[in-house]
Amino acid sequence: VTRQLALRIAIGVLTLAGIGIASYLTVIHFSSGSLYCPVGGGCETVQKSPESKLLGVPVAALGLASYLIVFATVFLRDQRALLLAATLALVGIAFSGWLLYVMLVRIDAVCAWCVGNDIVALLLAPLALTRYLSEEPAPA
Amino acid sequence: MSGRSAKRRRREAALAAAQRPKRSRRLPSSSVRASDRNARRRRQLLLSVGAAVVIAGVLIGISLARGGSGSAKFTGLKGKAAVIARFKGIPQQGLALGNPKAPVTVEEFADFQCPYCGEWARGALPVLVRKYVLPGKLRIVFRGQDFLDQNFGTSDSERLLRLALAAARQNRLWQVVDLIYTNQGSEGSHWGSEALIRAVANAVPGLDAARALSERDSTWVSDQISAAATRFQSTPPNPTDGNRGTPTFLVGRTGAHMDTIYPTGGGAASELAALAAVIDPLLK
Repeated sequence: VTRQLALRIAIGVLTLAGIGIASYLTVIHFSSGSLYCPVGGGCETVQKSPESKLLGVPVAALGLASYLIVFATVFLRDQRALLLAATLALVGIAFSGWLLYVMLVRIDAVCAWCVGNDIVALLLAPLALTRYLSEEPAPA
Repeated sequence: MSGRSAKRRRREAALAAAQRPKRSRRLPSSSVRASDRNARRRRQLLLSVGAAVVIAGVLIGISLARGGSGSAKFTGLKGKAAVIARFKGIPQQGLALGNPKAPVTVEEFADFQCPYCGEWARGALPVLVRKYVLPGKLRIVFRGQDFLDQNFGTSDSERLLRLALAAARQNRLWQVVDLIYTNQGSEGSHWGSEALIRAVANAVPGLDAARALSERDSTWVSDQISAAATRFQSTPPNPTDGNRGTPTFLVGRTGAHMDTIYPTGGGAASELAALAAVIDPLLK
């Protein structure tokens, strides 16, 4: 129980961090405000790049939706919900890896918010997988 | 008696034996269920990994197509030699091209996605440079705008403008501006790719491309964008339609009052004639 609780707390904290980052980037995108860039100075360049959108939807908004779903599963023990969270976390880590490559190689700029999101995605995926494999089903 | 009790003992032993296996079959059933469950989880997890790979592959594919927005593909930079030759030997100071003590100054308000600005840059600017700037009579200041990004839901105007302004810090803005307009695509078609931006930065002699690319997000560049937008908004709107369009020009004696020349919409020759009609009398 302690291990499961620790997993839930860790997933909850990480997804809240992800929600914070993705919310900020999404709000800035739709408000056309200027982006605070704590380190690197390449946040605007990355956020204005064509790769920052998918079919017109900001990738930050997609990330936000994904984090919200995974966060909701923290309160559930249903196996299908945990499987969905694990799948989303896997998609997240793969797509974040691609965006990291685009940022560093194709755009050649560093967006600290994006790196923060990559770290969250990297930590979240193994935790979501572990939880899916180890969580006991809810009692009937 | 002993025969009966022996029979009874045998019957009881047989009964106990019959019951024992039943109990032993029941005992592992929960661990079998757990093992089935774990196997099912692993199978589902494999399916989940497969689904994640497919979904991520689709997302990356769309991203590779540059946002799936039907963007124009950069196929190579045009006009490099002509642009380099055009500005050779002409002094630049930040946003300004030409002799700082030139008697007349023109301020140009233009957006990189604006087709009329492109026509002006390709058709009228070379004449203006040859006729007025080279002899030291005219100084031109570039006040880049990015409002067309809002109209088309793009970021091209701003991203291109950021490179031009970063180049201004190395007094190479005008080569960048001219190369961008030489390679201009149609409005809203996402032609201002990172590949084009890098090609332009690398094509300008004397420009430290790496520095310019890294300074695109600098505070100085952001401040210039805001200042140019504010200055454009301070110009009187076109009396014919009440709007501010590009290219718009402010023309006047250097340091004195400036008149506003609105876009004529009649092409480069028409814009040039409108400008020359104001510049020529100021030079007399």
